[in-house]
Amino acid sequence: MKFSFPREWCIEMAREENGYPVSAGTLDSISTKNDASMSCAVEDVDNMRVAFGRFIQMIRRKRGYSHEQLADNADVDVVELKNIEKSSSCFPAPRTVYQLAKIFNLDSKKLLQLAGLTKKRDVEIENGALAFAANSESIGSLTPEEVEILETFVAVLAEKR
Amino acid sequence: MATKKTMTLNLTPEEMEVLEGLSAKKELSKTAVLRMALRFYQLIDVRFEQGQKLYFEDDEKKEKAELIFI
Amino acid sequence: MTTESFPICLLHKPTDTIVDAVLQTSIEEAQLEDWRNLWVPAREEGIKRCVSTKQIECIPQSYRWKWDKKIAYYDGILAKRTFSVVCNDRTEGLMLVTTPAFALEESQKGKPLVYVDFLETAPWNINGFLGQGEYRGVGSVLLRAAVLLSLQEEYQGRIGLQSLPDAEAFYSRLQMRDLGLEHSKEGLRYFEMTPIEANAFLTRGGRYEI
Repeated sequence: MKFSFPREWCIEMAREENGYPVSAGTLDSISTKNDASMSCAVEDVDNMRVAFGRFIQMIRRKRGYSHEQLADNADVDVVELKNIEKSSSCFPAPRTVYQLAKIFNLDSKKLLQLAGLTKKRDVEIENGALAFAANSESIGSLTPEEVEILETFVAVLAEKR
Repeated sequence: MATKKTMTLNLTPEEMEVLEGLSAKKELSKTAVLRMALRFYQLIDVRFEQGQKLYFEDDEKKEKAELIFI
Repeated sequence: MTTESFPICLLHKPTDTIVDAVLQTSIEEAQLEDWRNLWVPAREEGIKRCVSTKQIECIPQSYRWKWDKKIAYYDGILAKRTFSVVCNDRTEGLMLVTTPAFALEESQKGKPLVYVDFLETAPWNINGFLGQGEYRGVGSVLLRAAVLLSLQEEYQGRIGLQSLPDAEAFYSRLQMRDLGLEHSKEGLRYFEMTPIEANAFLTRGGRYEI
């Protein structure tokens, strides 16, 4: 059998496609596992996302919320909340970050920065995020050390200027 | 596509019955079923040689049974 | 696997002209070189630009894919097939598929399909990432190749894929069945095309031949 791509078909589809994203596939653990060769730009985006996801997960557990309870109380989508915690490929919607900041009584601008949604670079938050990501595990119940790390970081994020 | 080669395959009646059953179930010709089987077998064989394992997991009992190739 | 090339055409958006290109039934070293030397730097540039202009949401969600690793991992595996779109000697799109995987959609359950593991267009073709995007139609052509492969394999045009969140609109518009989030651990929606939708996609409702 021959593959055929009628010219008019290609043109019609191209016009409808309109340049919007068409990517299909998963997070891709094969090509990125233990991979030290990721560029700085990609790593920056990654680190922020991972720190944000872990932070939300830990603060949720500390407050004793289930995913559903937090989603309900903060009026955010439970699937998006779970995705944020898993640091999956999605970036959170700014509204979700605002809602989460509100419910946890944090500075929304700082939380947006942690989520990678703002231009303003704050060294304190970035260093805090890196230390947090390096010292926290995402599973199991919180150890006293984790509680301490979390609280230090919450203090940085809660300080409204 | 590349030129295809033809071969004769000797199967027992039981094997043929299974092949025909799969062929009907998957809505494929017998050749397509065998081609599919070969792809699976090769993938498993390559990964096995690389030291990976293949498991069947029972969703309800949460049991895992390792599929062993010798 | 012998590589074949089929003529296609793309829309060059900046000049609004139709240009000839090819769909290749493989990803060769030349494509991986383009990926390394052109796609990766362009992606870096785009990410930096998005970060500096606060538009993180414009970063394509495939921003960490590494095609060289994917291709090396599946080298020589019969169940994996690769495709690429090349225009003026430059790689514009890449796709990796599995034959077979099996349908989950109720009416097709257990029947074989072509599963699109990864499909991506070059960073400069994405509207809103590096400008308005250069070539249009790359994704559609790759998807057509997946459906044609499905027909060739006797899978009746069935295909399945997990859409990245920002591409859901594209796959929904093609009338693919949205089977929701429960088939993926990563919170991605799983879409399937049944033989009926595959036929409608290829012929655009009977207006074109397959």
